[in-house]
Amino acid sequence: MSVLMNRRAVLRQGGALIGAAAASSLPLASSFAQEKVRVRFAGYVESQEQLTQTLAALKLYTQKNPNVEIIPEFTSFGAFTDKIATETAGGNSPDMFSVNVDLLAEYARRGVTTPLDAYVPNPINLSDYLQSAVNAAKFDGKQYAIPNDAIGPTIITNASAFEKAGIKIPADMWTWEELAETATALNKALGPRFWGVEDAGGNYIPCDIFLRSRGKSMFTQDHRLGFELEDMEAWYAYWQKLRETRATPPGDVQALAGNDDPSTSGIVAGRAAMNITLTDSFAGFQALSQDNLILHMMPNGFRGGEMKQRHYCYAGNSTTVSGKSPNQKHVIDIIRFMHFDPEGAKTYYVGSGMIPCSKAARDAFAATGSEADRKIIAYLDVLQKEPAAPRYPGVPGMTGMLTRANEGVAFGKLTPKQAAEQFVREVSARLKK
Amino acid sequence: MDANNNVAAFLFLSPWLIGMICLTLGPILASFYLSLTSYDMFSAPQWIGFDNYIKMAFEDSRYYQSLKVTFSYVFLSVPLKLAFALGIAMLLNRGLRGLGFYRSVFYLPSLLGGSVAVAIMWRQVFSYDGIINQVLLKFGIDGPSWITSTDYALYTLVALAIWQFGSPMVIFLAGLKQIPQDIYDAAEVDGAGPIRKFVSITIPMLTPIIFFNFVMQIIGAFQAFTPAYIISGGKGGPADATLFYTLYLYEQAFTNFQMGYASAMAWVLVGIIGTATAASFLSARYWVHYGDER
Amino acid sequence: MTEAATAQPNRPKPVSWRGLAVHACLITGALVMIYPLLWLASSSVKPSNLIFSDLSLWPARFRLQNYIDGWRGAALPFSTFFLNSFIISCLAVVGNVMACSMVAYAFARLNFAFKKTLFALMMLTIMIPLHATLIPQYALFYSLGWVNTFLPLVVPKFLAVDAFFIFLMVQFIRGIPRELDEAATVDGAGPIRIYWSVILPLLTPALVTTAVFSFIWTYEDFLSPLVYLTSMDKYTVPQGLSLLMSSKGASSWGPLLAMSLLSLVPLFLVFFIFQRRLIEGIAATGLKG
Repeated sequence: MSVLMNRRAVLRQGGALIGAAAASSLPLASSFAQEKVRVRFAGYVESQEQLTQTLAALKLYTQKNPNVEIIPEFTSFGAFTDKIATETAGGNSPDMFSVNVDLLAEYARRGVTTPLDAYVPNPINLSDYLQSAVNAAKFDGKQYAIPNDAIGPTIITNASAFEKAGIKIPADMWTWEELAETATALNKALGPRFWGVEDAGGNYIPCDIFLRSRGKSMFTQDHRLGFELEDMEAWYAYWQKLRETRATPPGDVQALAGNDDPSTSGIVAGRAAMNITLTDSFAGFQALSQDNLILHMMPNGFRGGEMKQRHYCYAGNSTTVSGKSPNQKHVIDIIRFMHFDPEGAKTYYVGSGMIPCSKAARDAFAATGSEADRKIIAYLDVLQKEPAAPRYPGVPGMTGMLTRANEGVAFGKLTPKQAAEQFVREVSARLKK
Repeated sequence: MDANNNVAAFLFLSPWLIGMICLTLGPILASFYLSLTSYDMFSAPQWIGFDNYIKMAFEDSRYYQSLKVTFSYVFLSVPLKLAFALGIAMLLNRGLRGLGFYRSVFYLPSLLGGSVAVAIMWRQVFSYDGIINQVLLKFGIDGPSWITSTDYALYTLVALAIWQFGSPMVIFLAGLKQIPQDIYDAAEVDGAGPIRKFVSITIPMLTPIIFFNFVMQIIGAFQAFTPAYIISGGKGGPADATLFYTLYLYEQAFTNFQMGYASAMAWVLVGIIGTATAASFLSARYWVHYGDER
Repeated sequence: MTEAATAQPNRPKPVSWRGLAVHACLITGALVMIYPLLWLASSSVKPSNLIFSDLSLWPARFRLQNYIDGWRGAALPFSTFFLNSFIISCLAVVGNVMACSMVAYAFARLNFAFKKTLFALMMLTIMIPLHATLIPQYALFYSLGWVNTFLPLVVPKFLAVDAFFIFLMVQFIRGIPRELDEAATVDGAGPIRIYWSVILPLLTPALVTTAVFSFIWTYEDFLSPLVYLTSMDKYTVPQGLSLLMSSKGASSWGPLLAMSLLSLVPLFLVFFIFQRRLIEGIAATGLKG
């Protein structure tokens, strides 16, 4: 094995030299400077601010640790997952990389990433981190990633539209029925090309919270389905009813929106007042809209049932370490620097648009951060008052399955029951292995 | 066929032979091997024989949906795109003022390829808030969201394919350029009119190029990926209405980590495209006229 | 329409009603064709909060800062990406034109053993979907030590891996009358001289087409640079654009659209310049010399 590795390394160096000779733009220095430890850090771009601050923090680290060279490899989220999969399959995965909750489970299960429990709590002390975020980065009881930013489910609400319609913004503790009624009232007031809420039938987090209102959940801690068929049927039937009462747009209009992308949302196009999404999208929505947007909580129960805070915070992205990385110690030190070194953490978080997972850092942000940061922190604080059970990892491609079934109902090709069956069948097939 | 010619031939073929043996053939054979395995890209492949192919044929209804979408797309987009490309190429081959400008403008959409900008622009035309519906609204019609309706989504992608007719157009233009002027001059002396010249000179002389464009457009359309990927965000939505074959293959490989199944899908597609191409080549002897045959 | 091919190029006719009608049709067609591009241009100078909410073609407010922000980028300036793209695309042009014309000549004009089998094999290589061979391909280039160099993007072009262009040139060469070769053979020319002095000059339209498409398609390629060029200083333009694609945070849509438009400019120039070569047609020879 080691012979093979050596041969590969030799080949790689040789190739680099040929490459340098063939294309003059190749930086020769990087091919020769072999004293340094080279750490490849792959990530996806969440925002320009996040990219700028991450690169600045990495640069700061290498200034303080001249023996380490960090090679940042960033790209858009869609491209990132393909790239990581290809590199890993080809035997060339980066030393450390960003993941979201669902990818984490998939990678952890297959040994692509390595458990970090040996480094917790020293040097990585997560005690004042949002426990729900820490838990969401666990798989099979082991800590596979370090959460970077805190996010929570929310309804981005166009306050200007409510004002225009003369409808009062409902209280935080409201029911799924009230959501439907409010949305219909908005359509009546601002109709016919305006709908109260965008269809979230294909959206994982609201579905999970809906299930929690019924005393269930999407997944259990041991990575199984946490609900019955009729719960999912009720979910699709709920949105079907909203479509019938014009609370939510018809299938074709709704299908325009995709991937939590504000640019495709009805709220930006001016034909919806509410969009169910996550707090880290808030700045993105506000940047594209001329109206006044606010963060509002999703429903917390059903009429006549128990009203309780059903939401959770978790991490939008987390950093994980490749199972094959020979530089694990350095990687851990870089993570430590970005999260716990006062200077490093400040560079990494301030102005990045990310809300830190640690309580101390969030409190500092609440005083000094941007207006959007402060709004989000205030909102997350509300969610923390009485935290719900954490989110557990799902399976990749799940949003696709959920959306396909919901669209089947919206375009009249499936009944809610058939949609529920289809979804359960597809998710179960993925959970089995 | 003398030995000397063989040597010269393989000299000319050498770049391709080296590329084929060293770079192309290995991955192709590897993908065939993977199609007979269960392979999640991270663990070692497990030999399962033809299970992937059997599952595809008997258990996967989305697979059939992807076939249906792809065949509809091929049958609609290829003839329409070629007709546009040939028509405009003819129009642009005459001595008009500002020809370079027109040629470039008609090629412009093709320059966009599959960039992000295409997705946004196409939404700007065919979405619920797009320009078409804004015009319809002036007549009191509340149009659907064409690009994301199960009834029309595929047709908007066909329209996109036609809009990007630039590549075959340029190839047609190059083909028209290759027809020697003296053949037309001779025909004119014989009293041939424009229609006669078109039918008995332009079209026959252009058949090798028509054939090329036809074959390549078919191969390309069967593999269509980018338009659907950027417009439906890679999901083939709404409700699988634009689930192209390669899009589904990609989803199996990179979202579901079923690379073995995806490889099997790839080889069935090779079979389909190979059959279509072979049929084209067989038909070619009846309608394609080569200069080297006379 | 029908007399299209008969007209002499480069000799504009006197203005006539018919000519005007053709121009009117072409201009209308051109406007429909480029409406989405006009929208792109207009949006690239809009402030973010108007891009998707105000659909008018004329921006209510101008924001040229989009271009400055986009060019500067959060990681690296676009000049880096443009330079990388130019190097790779130019090498691809040279590689494809040289290698594919040689191979095409062999397939179109020479006789050799297993000709049909090899031709079928060549066609087979374009029928396999990219994603199916990506991982074995990646493993191969990685074992050669080529990852994070331009080699995986350039070397295949010099080895005529792109069968599209071979087939294209085969079709063009087969359109060239064989009497020309035979005449040269009588004069004592061998295959190499026939290729160089008879076929290549007559192949100019196809060579120009190959050059243009090689440049454009290499420049636009996303998947190969994505996996093979890992460090950001080697990124190409489409990868640079993907760094601007972020839905979270204060919007980067303005800079993204601005750079999307700017990234088209070199392509347009290449096309505009080369299409003149296309028109000069058979008279032009310079490309190979």
